[in-house]
Order: sequence, then structure tokens, then C-alpha cells
Amino acid sequence: MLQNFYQDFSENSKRLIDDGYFIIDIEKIDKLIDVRESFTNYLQESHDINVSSENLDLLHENLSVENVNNVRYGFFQYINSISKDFTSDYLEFAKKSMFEVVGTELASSKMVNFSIQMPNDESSILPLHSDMFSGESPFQVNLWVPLTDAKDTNSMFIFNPSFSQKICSELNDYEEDGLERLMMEYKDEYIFLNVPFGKGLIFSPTCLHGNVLNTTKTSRLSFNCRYKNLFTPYHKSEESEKKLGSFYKALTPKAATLIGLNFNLDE
Amino acid sequence: MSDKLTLTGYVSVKEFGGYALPVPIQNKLLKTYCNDNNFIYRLPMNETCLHENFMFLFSTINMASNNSNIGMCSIHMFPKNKSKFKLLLNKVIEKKLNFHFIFENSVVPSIELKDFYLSSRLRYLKNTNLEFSSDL
Repeated sequence: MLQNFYQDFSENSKRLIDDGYFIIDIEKIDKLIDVRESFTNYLQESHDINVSSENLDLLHENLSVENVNNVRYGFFQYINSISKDFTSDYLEFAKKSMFEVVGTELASSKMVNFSIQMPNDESSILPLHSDMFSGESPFQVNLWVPLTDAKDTNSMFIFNPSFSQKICSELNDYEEDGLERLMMEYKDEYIFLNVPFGKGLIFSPTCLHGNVLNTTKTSRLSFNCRYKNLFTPYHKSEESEKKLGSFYKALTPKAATLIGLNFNLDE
Repeated sequence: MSDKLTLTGYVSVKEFGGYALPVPIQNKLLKTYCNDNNFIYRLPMNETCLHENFMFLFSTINMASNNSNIGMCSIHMFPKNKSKFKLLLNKVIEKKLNFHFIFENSVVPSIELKDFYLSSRLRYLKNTNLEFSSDL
């Protein structure tokens, strides 16, 4: 792969290419603690649930599976609406790393997603997939930040890049039986990621990933948001929503870009 | 323990029946449908953007429990290819699944799915000498 470029890359960049991910220290931990506090306040005010920030991994003791999606979706809407631009605030958790591996002129998905994975909750399982399946850009990375310690089956799993690429290029062969059996047959090709609170994960969603039934005794709460270079391609089909304006938005355009957008030459 | 039934969603980024509806909107419709009809909403699988590939519809059905409920915006999200539909139909009948189609405002049990699907195909008939085949 374009070896001349690769050899000059940073360690994080090489890990992203070779392993499909790397884990960082959150750049603004105080802001992450504030966000975690926002969630406990939201729980109390909107759902009359009292859980301390430090015990969020025991959320399942106070929240039923029946209500988990209402809480998840409600907080998703709330956190994306309380600041001017939460995708921009969220980027602050890993801005240096994002600029390092993606670039400084970024587009992001329009909202930051929020997940809750409680023990034995079958309703929140996100099966094995690549984000490319739905037409998202292979040039994007995903910033995944937990509000609780994430490990074992309460975390997400990721397949390595070369195996993922092989399966993606043969996808039609799996149409009728699905990809689920890959989890049983290729245990050496994926890992569950250990991401404690205070750390963040940057991964390439070209890699197959997802989660399984959480068989641990703790809940996992996490955010995720996609970031890509503003000028890398978007899905070409007319009906695809995965384009700038519908799925992505410009996040950090620079001065030269604004000049170019405003310039007209008489033809 | 709740006695609410679960409805598993299915969403697609592909055009279906003349619509191309963003996935978040499909999710909102399904979630509202579940709230209105007293179902627990189970997060959907999102179909691939690959033309004529229905891997996640197969997976949704493969992973469904017997007699369970699957919700989607429209019957037109099923494949137009009849042999592929037949493969899915066999699994649906074997598991006695119920389908909830929001746009058609219909709940269709497995034994009625074939007729419902064939009726939906009438939309695509053109003036032609070819006969409309129902050899499913």
C-alpha cells in the first residue's frame, strides 16, 4: 500500500492501517466527565432514575430492557441538542489524533450516536457488519468513547483489516446464510476491545465489527461518531442518503476552501 | 417481567417502491409504530447498499424466533427477484413470522405473505404480452 507514504506515518496511523484501530487517552477528560454527569442528570430528570456517575455500569439494576431504547434515544436527542454542535464538542476528545490520521478539514456524521448495552439485553445487539455495507464512506474513521469501562462482551468486537477486506469482497457469497457464522469459525480474526473510561477508540469501520449479547455483569454506555476528510468521495448512487448534507456535514473547513467556494470566474 | 411483544425492525438504504427514505426516518416510523401498538422495539439490521443483495433481510429472518414479529416500512423492501423471495418465504412460513408493513398499514401473517407480495407486484405491470407469473 503506497509504501513511501506509509513509512513516514505516525505510530497511530500505522496501527490504524495494520490493526484497524488504536486507543488513545481522552484529550479533555474534564469535558467527558461533564458529559457523563449530563447523562445522570438526564436519567433523573426525564426518567426518575437515580444512578451515580461512578456506578453507571450498574444502570441495568434501575432500567428495564423494555425502556432501554427510550432512554437511549431520548439522551441521543438531548445531548445532540444542548450545545451548538455536539459533533464538534465530541471531536475535542480526540482532536489531535483525528487530525493526525484523517486531516484537518473534516466532515462528520450529523449527530453523535449513543449506545447502551445492558447484560442479557437482546434488543440492543448490533450484528456483525461493516459501515460500508450501507454506503458510508471507506475514507471515514469512527471515534468511539465509552462512559463506562468497556471490555469482554459488553464491549464491541472488531475483525482485522485483511480478513474484513476478504469477506467484504466476497459478500454476495454470504447473502443467504449471513455473516454470523464468522464469529464461530474465525475466532482468531477478531478481538473484543478493552476501552476503560477515560480512553477513546478510533477505528476504521471498513473492518467488520459489532457487538454480541452482553454476558458480563456490567452495562456499557458509549458514543460514536464518524469523521472523514471533507473532500474524500461520498456514495455515488442518487438515492443514497450517505452524502454531504444528509448524512455528513462539513465540520472544519479552512479559509482557502471558503475562498474557493465563493469564487466565480466569468465563463 | 413485561408481557409486551418484541418487534424486530428492518431498514434499508435502497430505493423501495419509488421511495428512498433515510434510515433514521425509517427508524422513527418503526419506533412510533411500536409505541402506538405496544411493542418493544428491537433495533433493526440495515440492509446492504449492494444491488439485489438482501443479506440482512435473510439474517433478520434467520435470527427471528418462531411466531415473532418483524416490522419494515413497506412490502416493496422485499426482493423483486421471485426465486429470492421464495427462499425467504419458505423460512418465513417455517417460522410462522408476522410482518408489519407501515406504508401498507398491514399486519401480514406468514401464510398470507405470498399473496400480499404478489399483489404488491401489480404496481410494476406494464402493457406487455408476457403473463404475470405467480409460480412461487
